[in-house]
Amino acid sequence: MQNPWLITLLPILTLSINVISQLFVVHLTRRIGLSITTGLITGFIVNVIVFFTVSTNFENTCIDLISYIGFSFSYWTFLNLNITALRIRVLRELLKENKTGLTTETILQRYSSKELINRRLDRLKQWGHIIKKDGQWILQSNKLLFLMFVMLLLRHIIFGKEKTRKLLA
Amino acid sequence: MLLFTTMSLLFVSFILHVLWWRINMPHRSTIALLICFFGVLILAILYLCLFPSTFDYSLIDISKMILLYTSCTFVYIIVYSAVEDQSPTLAIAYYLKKQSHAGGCDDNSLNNFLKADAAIRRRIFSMEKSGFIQKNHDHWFLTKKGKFFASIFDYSAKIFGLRGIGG
Repeated sequence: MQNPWLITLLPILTLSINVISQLFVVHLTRRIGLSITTGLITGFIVNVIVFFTVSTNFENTCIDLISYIGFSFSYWTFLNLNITALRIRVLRELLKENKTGLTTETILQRYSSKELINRRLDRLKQWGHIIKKDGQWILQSNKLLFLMFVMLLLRHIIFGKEKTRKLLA
Repeated sequence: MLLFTTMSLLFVSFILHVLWWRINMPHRSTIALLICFFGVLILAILYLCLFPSTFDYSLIDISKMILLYTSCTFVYIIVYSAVEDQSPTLAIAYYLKKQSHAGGCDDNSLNNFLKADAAIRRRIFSMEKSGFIQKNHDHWFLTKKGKFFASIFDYSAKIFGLRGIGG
């Protein structure tokens, strides 16, 4: 006997498995990237296994998998915000200096242009998107350019040509 | 059919969102996006409840639709944040592509192009606009809302084993 609610709530259940696996791996190995990947794959595998042992409806599979991927992407972004987002960095700096506050200049000193660029270059290099050859940075992968193209397209659709030009200026 | 209905609803929400932004861009874009997307979802659910014979969806079908719709809406709101403000990482990639004919570029050239200070200033301004921070005698302080969000990220960094302070 199939339980239709199990199939319906499968994306939430597998997201929970994803989060628990991520937490388990990160505290065991201290490797963030590995823990996120493990969580994502574990949730995905459980999703597929449960689905094929309970039902064979193709539309339900698609709905559950898309929902799971969407929720997992949101979770990954939440984790990533702590690692990469400028806004979160400023918020957490201000939380540390809650009583005295910070001037714009102090914020800029604490997080200099050089640091901002170096952190991003390091990450891009680690992920294999760029390499440094004879002191020159060279783009290695076109994935980022594809993303940039998608962003530009969306900007044109949402804001129109004029506003997009102002935003990029 | 359920998948098609949900995707159609998302498409309608997207069109409404584009029209809204083209007519009058809201100051608090995330809240406006939530209103736009979830407003359409609530109206659709009301319609399905008032005229159940139109689509013949069960409670389980509607629950599935809500989950799928919510998940896709979250993804869109995340993507939109990168659309709204230029990401420094993508800007670097774009600049390196432009410089590829010259055999790449060095650190100084990247620094001059990126104007990272301006990116930080823009984010400070946007956080003030969103009510996360406020200025008092030239010093920035967290508002109640800002403190709440900063604490969530601070605690989550500890719980989820994320080292460093971000950025």
